[in-house]
Amino acid sequence: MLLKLALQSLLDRKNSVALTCIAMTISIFVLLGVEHIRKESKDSFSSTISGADLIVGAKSGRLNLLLYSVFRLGSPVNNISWRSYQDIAANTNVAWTIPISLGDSHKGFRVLGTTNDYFKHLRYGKKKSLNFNQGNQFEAVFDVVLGAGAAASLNYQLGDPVVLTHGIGDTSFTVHDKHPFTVTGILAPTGTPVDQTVHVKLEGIEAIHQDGNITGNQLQPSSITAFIVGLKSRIATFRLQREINELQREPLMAILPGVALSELWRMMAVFESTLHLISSMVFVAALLGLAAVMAASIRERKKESQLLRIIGAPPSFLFILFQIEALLISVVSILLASTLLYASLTIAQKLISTQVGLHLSSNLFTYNSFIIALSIVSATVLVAALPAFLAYHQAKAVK
Amino acid sequence: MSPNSDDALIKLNQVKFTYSSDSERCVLNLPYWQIASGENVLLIGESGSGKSTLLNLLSGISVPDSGSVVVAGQALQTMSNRQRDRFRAERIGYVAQSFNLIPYLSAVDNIQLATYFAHGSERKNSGSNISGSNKSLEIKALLSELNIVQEHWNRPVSQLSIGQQQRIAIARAVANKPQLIIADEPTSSLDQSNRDNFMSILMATASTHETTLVFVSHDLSLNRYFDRIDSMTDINMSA
Repeated sequence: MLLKLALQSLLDRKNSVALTCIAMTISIFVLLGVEHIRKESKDSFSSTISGADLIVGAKSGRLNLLLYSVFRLGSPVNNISWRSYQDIAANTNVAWTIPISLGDSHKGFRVLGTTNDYFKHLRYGKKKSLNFNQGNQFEAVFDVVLGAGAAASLNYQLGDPVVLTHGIGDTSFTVHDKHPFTVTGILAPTGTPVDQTVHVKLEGIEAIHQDGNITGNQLQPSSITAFIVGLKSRIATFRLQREINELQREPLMAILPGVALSELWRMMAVFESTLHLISSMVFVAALLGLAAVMAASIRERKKESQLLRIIGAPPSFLFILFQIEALLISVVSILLASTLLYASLTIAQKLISTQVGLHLSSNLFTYNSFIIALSIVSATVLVAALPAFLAYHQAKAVK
Repeated sequence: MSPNSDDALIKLNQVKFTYSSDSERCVLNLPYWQIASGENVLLIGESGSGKSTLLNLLSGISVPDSGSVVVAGQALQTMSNRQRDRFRAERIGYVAQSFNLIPYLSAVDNIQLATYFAHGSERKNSGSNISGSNKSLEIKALLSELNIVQEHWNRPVSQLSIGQQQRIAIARAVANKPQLIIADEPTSSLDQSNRDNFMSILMATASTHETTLVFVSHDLSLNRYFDRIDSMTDINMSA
């Protein structure tokens, strides 16, 4: 009966209730959206690389190295000579290395030169290895292995010819169309930047940069952009890092991925809390709007309250009635906002994934969003308590 | 003052009431007033004569500063707020001048709301509750009895005429089989023909349900319907 009364009363005031609902929905959408993207991007970033002990590149910023080597964001400052790479790879503590050569693109997708060690040793998420959906790893110089997202976007099949461009960007002035590559493998989706990457052999990268004749020896790379190191024992991590950082021959830098990532979070923290603050303020404004609409409606419905009292409603009934009305508005708004957010995420997912390299899941049923929804509901109860108490008091005051 | 000593349904003794904001002026000073069970009383009084205050005391919305208000054997001033709310829901039917019904609810829902407040507690205390379908049958019988056509039963009452709304208000007032119906100028918003119609239905309903009626009005032309006519100026020493 209580619920029926609350529902009918809300339906009776459709217009003001709908407006309140829209305001609440938008604010909850912003709140949930910001929280979700913040958490998902953190998860996505953290799960991009695992199992790697060091990342080595030319001396620049630690974050810069992390961003370009792992996330394919930004550009490398300098290259590493092939000899230095060989030296470090030969260190007795080193179990494996994955060389990375960046700087080219294909139809907007980054081209990454590497070796078959990439498919063997690269780990993401909870130490998951890369799997092939179709085909195999590199065999010939002009073989190409596509990430799942790149293959899907470009609509490439095994055996398709690929023309690679020097430089980054959709339309480069110097098109290297002399050496057609062939797709030999397509990776399974990972939700990391690997999906958006076009992988070729290091020799293939050399080939696109060399005009004229190609012979096996000439394709020996002279430099690479960075490399990822896996150690036999983690105890050696810091010693090797110091050795690399103090190398006299070439200014190199080694970073611990985990440390660099947490540095990234620290940098983002200010930005994060600003976003947090803004979305909370928007929500508080919407809540106050709700309280204002409720207070007005309670004044409007003074006669209704008196009638309820006359037919035997205790003052607490009125308090609960107004609370339920506020809660209904808030719950409907949460549901609307979640649906809206889910739809937006589903639509924007692909765009964000290709443009920013972030994999945002549209799954909103997380512990985190449950907690947010719960806080929204409790905040509503708290804020609605004021006007509802007004109604209670008004009902009780008739002497 | 034992409830069974006579057949008085309402018994007021040395009742004084003052609004706290204006403690100098006594609104109601009522040495003695009694209404027998089954009596129909027309209470005449100008505005400001303490009518509304008296009705609030009878229905237990207010309590007197001193004196006793006994209705249906219950001394209202000794009950808790909760008890008085329940007492009002179960024992008293109320028909006011206007705004008798929740406008966005249907006739059936309005009556159900009244039974909800009256029976909400009974369900917990005793097993002898009327089943839901029985209850709604009763409500429908009541609405037919009061000449509300079936197509109006489930429509928001705001869509119905004032005459119909006042009749539904009677149905709502008697739905819980109260011992007392309080009517507070219920005809003042009705025209002549609707007023006659309303009065005859109210009197008939009160007599079929064997309910005592206290009817407040300043319209003396209604006196032919009543057994007894009291004037506020006679019973209230402050008026």
